[in-house]
Amino acid sequence: MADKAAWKDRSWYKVVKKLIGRKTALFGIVVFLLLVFMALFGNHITPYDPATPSASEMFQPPSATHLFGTDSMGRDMLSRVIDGAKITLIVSVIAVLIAMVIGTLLGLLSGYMGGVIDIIITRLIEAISVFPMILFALIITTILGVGTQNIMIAIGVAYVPAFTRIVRAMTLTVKEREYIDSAKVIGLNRAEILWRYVLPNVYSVIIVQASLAAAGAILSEAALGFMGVGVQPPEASWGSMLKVGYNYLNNAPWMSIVPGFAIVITVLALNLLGDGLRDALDVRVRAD
Amino acid sequence: MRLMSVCGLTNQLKLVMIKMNNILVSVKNLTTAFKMGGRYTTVIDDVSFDIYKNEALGIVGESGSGKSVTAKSIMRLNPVTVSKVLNGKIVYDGTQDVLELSEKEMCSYRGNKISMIFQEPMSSLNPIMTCGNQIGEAIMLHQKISKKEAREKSIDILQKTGMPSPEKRIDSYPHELSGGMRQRVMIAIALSCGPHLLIADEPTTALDPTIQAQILDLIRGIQTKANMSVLYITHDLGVVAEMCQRIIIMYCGCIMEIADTYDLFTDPLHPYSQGLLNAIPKMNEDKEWLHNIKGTVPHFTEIPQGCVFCTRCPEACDSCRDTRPKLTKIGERREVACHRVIHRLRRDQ
Repeated sequence: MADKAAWKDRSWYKVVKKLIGRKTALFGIVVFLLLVFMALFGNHITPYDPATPSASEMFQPPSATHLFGTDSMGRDMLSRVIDGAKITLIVSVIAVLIAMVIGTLLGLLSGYMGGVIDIIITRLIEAISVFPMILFALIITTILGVGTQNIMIAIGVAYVPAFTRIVRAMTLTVKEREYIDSAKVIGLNRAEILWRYVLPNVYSVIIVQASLAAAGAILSEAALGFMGVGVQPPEASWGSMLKVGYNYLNNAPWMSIVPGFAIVITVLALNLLGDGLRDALDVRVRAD
Repeated sequence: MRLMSVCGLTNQLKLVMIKMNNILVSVKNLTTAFKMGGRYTTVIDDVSFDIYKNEALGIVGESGSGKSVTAKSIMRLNPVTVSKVLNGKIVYDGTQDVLELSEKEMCSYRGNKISMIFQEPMSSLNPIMTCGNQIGEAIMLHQKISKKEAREKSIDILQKTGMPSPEKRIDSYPHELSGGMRQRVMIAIALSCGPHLLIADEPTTALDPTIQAQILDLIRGIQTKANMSVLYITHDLGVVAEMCQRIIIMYCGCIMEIADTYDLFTDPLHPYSQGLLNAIPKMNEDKEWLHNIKGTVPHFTEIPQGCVFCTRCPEACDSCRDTRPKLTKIGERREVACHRVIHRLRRDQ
């Protein structure tokens, strides 16, 4: 048992080492961890209560007391951004999980089985992707109603086609490789081949796609929030904060710049993290 | 030629040991079609042959002659979406028709009873699994043993394939190994469950001659020790001369001739076999041009209705162009599909 554990430790150790070895990936990790930290302990570290309005402190520009200024109701922007990290993160992570799980399953099935199953799944995916993503998410929220949970489902389903397409395409190339034949030769059944041979070989594209989709989901959530169908007050995501700030762009630009900047940094970090993960998980790339 | 006769002799000796009533796999009238441009086209036509226990049998043919499809048919590896077995049986051990096994039965048959190694050892190993895991997986699939035992057994098998320091190499990924080492890993995977038949689909084509010789030696050694049969698929006549006791010559999806290695090399009967053997350059011959068979392999849509070789055959006559010759038994272990040869032999009798 001991050498089995050492075995596993070693491969994980290698991945982490490779990941940290790249500066861009390291930046991605740091920002992502910071985000997770803010999401978990946000209510303990905010300098002010993010939800309590204060009539005397409306529209204050950034200063020593309010680092990022205050909004139209006198609430501290820094506290609100920290507080908003939680809902933003949850929405994007869960939406991506939904899209990733459904999309990958459909992609694997349609690519590997081919024939009628492939045709049905591909047509279904095409039917979904006919709609622009935002419009599709709007349709779902119209059906399911407005709310944080439904936004996650809407964004999640809207991102399924991207995953299905890319996984199907990769599966099609992987299943023609000779090692799939060798897997059959030793007597593995279809499910085992899909799970142990095909999936791990399409892993890298799934991870990159997930990091892109997570970034995209944050933007979509912001866009939907901006249209007012997203996260509802008093909960505040970065997107909904951006929307409120937009009305005061001339007088109080910090109200949109701060959440906007948070979105940009997070999206960038997620993309870099995805790139880093792809390289780190590829056994063919050596750690230097 | 002297070397050839020595090789022929050892194979001849081995032949004596093969019991002819001990058939391991019997392929009967196998006809397989592939979908090409929406229509099914026959790629192997009425192929019948037997693989005896403990023998090394070679299938020789040009590219596209159907030798790989034949081999893959025995493993049922031809893609179901584009290929179809139109007719025939593949009987394993005298009882079970492989073509009628369920997918689940097929899984316990592959690897366990029959295994296969491929031409390109890089692409036939999973790039993201360590070699040890790949060998171990094959073992654990068919035998109920723990992961640790499987690992020890994997090292053991790798050792037998002549891998240097197998306990280190077992944790290597395929890209960290050389071509010869990868092929050793492939062989280790194929042998891990002690199959009765090993199908080797051009196992040495991608390797350089030194490694080629080592791998061939390895397979031959293991075959003798493990008492298994080997089916060689190759286009290298030198390899079959050295490795196989019997040879099947294929052309355009049909069997032209089946003969003992020695007989084939000393007295080829079919004009195609004669052409192939004449095409081997000889060391002590001073010639400007090498001998070749005139013409090219017909496109699969233009396969003649009569003998498939009639368009290139120097001896072709009208009956060759009209009716396809049947593979006819003319000796104890010798079969040939040629009107002229059969006619000649009958006349001589």
